[in-house]
Amino acid sequence: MIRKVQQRAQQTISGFKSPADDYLEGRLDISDVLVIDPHCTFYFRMDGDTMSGFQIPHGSLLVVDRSLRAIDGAIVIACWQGKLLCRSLNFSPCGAASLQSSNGIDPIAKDANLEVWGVVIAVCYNVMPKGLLKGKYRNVCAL
Amino acid sequence: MFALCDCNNFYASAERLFRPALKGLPIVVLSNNDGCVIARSEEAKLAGIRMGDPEFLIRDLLKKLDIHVFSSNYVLYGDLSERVMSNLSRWFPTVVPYSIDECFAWAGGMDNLDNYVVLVRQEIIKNTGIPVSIGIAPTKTLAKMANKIAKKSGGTCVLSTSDDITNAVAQFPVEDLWGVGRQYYQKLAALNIQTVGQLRDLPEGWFKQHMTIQGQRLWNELWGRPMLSLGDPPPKAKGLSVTRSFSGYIEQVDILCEAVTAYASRLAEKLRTEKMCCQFLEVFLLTNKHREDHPQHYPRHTHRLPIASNNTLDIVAAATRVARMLFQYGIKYRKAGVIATALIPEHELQFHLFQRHDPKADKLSEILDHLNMAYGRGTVRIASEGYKKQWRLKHEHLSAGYTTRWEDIIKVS
Repeated sequence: MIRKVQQRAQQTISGFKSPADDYLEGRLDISDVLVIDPHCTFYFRMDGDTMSGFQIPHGSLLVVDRSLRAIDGAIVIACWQGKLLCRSLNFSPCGAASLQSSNGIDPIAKDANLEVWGVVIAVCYNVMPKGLLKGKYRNVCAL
Repeated sequence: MFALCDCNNFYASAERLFRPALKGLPIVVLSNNDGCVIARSEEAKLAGIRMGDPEFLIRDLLKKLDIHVFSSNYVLYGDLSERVMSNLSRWFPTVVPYSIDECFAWAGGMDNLDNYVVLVRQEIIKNTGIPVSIGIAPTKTLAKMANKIAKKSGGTCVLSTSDDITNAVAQFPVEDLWGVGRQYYQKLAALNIQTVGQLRDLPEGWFKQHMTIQGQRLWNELWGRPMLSLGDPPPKAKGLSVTRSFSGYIEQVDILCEAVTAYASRLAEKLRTEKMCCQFLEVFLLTNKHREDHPQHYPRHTHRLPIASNNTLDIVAAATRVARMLFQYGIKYRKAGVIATALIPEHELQFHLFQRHDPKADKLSEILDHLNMAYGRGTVRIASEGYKKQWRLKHEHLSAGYTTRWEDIIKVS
């Protein structure tokens, strides 16, 4: 489980009052820069290596924003034939859209059933070697 | 001007958002405990499934028509509802949610509402994935009506001039009007009043005489004179309750007490969020009235607490004591409920002359709330709830917490 309550040392000082007291700021929070619009943000998980060429390895956590309009070159969650896919969206000069995966084996041509669900705005994944994936560090970008 | 934003077939739309393969296919959502149909997609409505149909009666039909069945996933619906309303509030500064899928908003002092509302609707649908309809009119009653019209005509409807309103009411059936219940509808049908226009043309005196103060308000609202304000708060609860059916029958007193402990703890939690204490606690048990072959038993008892309380220990202790007293061997119980009545605000508590109030239990409840808030509901609970929870609600068709649990987020390939 993700710890929501941060353990902090008791700040009641028994000796001298900290000179920093008047200058306290909130600590940096990663969600400030990953989640721009929380009411429109959803999360997905990459399953498989179809997008590894776009630096989206298997198991990545995808931050998806529905408020953006997908343009050429955006990585999107697309809905195709009832399935949700992570692909690169490309527009040909004549304006026809297609979905591209990294291995290029299955470019999905535009068809009437292609629908963009949301735009992937950031990708998070764990870069630790196996030896470090222990205890609470197993939870880094993990299920 | 009031706007009413309403999600179309909300529960079905919410399920479909994460299961796009179900687009265009019929969906029904069942009530708690998978009892009966509480929401239908358009396709399921067309297939003839009615609201309130008990699942066990239409099970074969659902299978035959290949209708997708979901248990109600309030965690998901609650989150999506909040998203819709938060998005709406960016366009209309003052919003007041009316129910899980409806939200009133103040739309006064805005120009070009007709185009604006079309844009707002598109944005909300894009940002949340939930289809909505928006109706705007000078009163809440008319906004509600405009919303119903919007559902059938492109998703938006603005009634700003008196001509717009006159045209709209002339065609709107009176039985669909907000505030006209079955009883009044029959009265009106007897007078051969079918449209809201006809209703509105009755003299004010008629409303006063036949529909009390509510009717008079309705009449004014229909003429574009607001009688209801945006933020009319719902009346403060006089009582709170937690009432649930079991997944099966309970025939053992210990298991019954587990269930009652769970309901009572939840009730105490609710009381604390409302900052109220209860003076009386009522517990009731029910058998299945549809099973005439079972012996029927529906006892209830109201217990007076020595000191009004909202801490989990007091409420659970009292509720289980009553449940033990009500229980009879040989009876198959189907449902139980715990009701808190005679509520008084926490800070107006009166202490008992001869009984010392123990602040320890209040403190414990406070810590319980903190822990459960931080780590998720049910992290710390009363052990007498038991661990097996065989009585717990059935939800065999529950979808995942796509937006609230990391382990449930969708995998894409």
